[in-house]
Amino acid sequence: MSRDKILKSVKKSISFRVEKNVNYSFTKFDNKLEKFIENFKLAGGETVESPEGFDVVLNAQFGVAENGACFINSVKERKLYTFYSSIVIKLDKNRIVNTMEEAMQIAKIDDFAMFLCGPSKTADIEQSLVIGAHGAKRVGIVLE
Amino acid sequence: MRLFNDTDWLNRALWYVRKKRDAAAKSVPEWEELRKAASNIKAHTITHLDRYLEEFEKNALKNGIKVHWAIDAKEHNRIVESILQKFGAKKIVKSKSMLTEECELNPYLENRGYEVIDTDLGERIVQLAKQKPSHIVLPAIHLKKEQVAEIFKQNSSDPTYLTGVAREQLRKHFESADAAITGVNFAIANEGAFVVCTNEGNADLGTSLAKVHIAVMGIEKIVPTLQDLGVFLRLLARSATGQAITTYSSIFKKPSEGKEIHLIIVDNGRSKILSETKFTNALKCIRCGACMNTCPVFRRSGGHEYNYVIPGPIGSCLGAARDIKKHGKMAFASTLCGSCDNVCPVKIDLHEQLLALRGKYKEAVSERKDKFYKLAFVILKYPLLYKAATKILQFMPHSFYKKAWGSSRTVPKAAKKSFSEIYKERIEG
Repeated sequence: MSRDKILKSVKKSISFRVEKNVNYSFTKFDNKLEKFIENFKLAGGETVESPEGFDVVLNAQFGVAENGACFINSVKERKLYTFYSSIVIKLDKNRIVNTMEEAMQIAKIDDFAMFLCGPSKTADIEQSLVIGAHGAKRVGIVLE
Repeated sequence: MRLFNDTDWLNRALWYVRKKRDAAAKSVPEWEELRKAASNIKAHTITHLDRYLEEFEKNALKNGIKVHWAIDAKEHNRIVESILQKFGAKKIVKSKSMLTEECELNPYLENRGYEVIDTDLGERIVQLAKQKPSHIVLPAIHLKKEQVAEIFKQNSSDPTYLTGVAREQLRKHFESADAAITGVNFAIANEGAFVVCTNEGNADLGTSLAKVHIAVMGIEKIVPTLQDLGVFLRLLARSATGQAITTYSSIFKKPSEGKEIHLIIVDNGRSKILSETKFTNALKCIRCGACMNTCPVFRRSGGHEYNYVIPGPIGSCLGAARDIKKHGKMAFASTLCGSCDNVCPVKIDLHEQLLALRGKYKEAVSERKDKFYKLAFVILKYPLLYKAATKILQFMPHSFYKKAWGSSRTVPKAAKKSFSEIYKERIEG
């Protein structure tokens, strides 16, 4: 069986061991909310007052300040994340963490989760940034 | 219509991506700490890989993910086909996976009557152009927008317009696909889940619409915990494109109701690399492409001139370590400047491995003693012969150099006067 052959081959191949010795350090921002909004906008997102005018409304469990990403867990219909042209995210502005390390400490994944950061984009044609490759062309956020 | 007499544009395009990486790295005060952490996590994982693979499989199975194992490329392709047959799938949408390139999955399936659509825009462009990707992150970086317009049979070469055309065309494929194939950026052992990162959303669109999701991964893609994933998600996009994070970082844990997720774990020579102490560290690679963007040789050669599926410094290490006779020459396409080591987010000792691979190559392949080298030595020995030879070479047509210079690169114009001629004129008047 291939499984056993591969595991045997791997076990036999390991010639030295490295022990795990990680310092999960991370920056703490003075103003997490401000940093979050700045990075969310940098990724092409926009802050909005209301969810009016968007195709899809998604609820984020928390946001990450260092990159403007929103953690969205287990939406029933997975095509909601990328099929529609515009998405608005609802996020409690007090639920923002500093970095991804902190995010992983509180992230709960039921069956599928996504860090969503702004509209779909590509720079595959001569490095020119184009918004709206396959996913949403417009991503807004309502901070409650 | 812009002219292509500028042979330096690819170099500048890649260096621009390097500069974006630098800006991103500088904005993270603990960047070097992150690199150390990532290097340690990967080194630990691959040196305990048997344990982590078993843990990952156990948890993935509990989540309802169907796990398959493939010893080599052939088996990988056969397993993909068997899953497609099970579902009666004929049309497949694929998001970026260098592993599928390595296994040559597309031609395998197409020869058996399947339709495979690459959905990452860069990959779709090279697919339509019947070329191979020239970079693992930026597959079409070697193409100008006028060339892309031609490939899409459009009159405008405006990137926004062309992307819109691709979006519309590919939507139709997404909506009619039977199966979606993706790669895997990271497989989290303690969660039994795997992660796919994209900017375009093609992996998510494809997998959310098709009834079966086939994910393929090399054995080295494992990370121990969700906490470890955090470290890598901080480093990956910043190293690859200078973004803080990709637009979509999706964690697949359980299939949607009524659908299936099949994960194929592939060896295909990786355990062999693992067994060579000097080259084990090449398996830490997280496929960010930073080494390619900084390499002075890659920037001026482009990915097509490397004869392995992955080009650049890491490709040279992985290819040569896998098959020294077939790919060992790539280890010589390097100045050993070490710039790649500096940008590698997992601190692979790339330039040291390249040097060691040169030694291995020399052992494996005997010296060429053909007429060309004998002639070259004679010419180099006698100054008059050398002068005559350089004069002749100066006026040879471009076709003479095409093979040596590289089929995908433009041969530059020869100078009218040689350096020694100019020197003689200026100093001796």
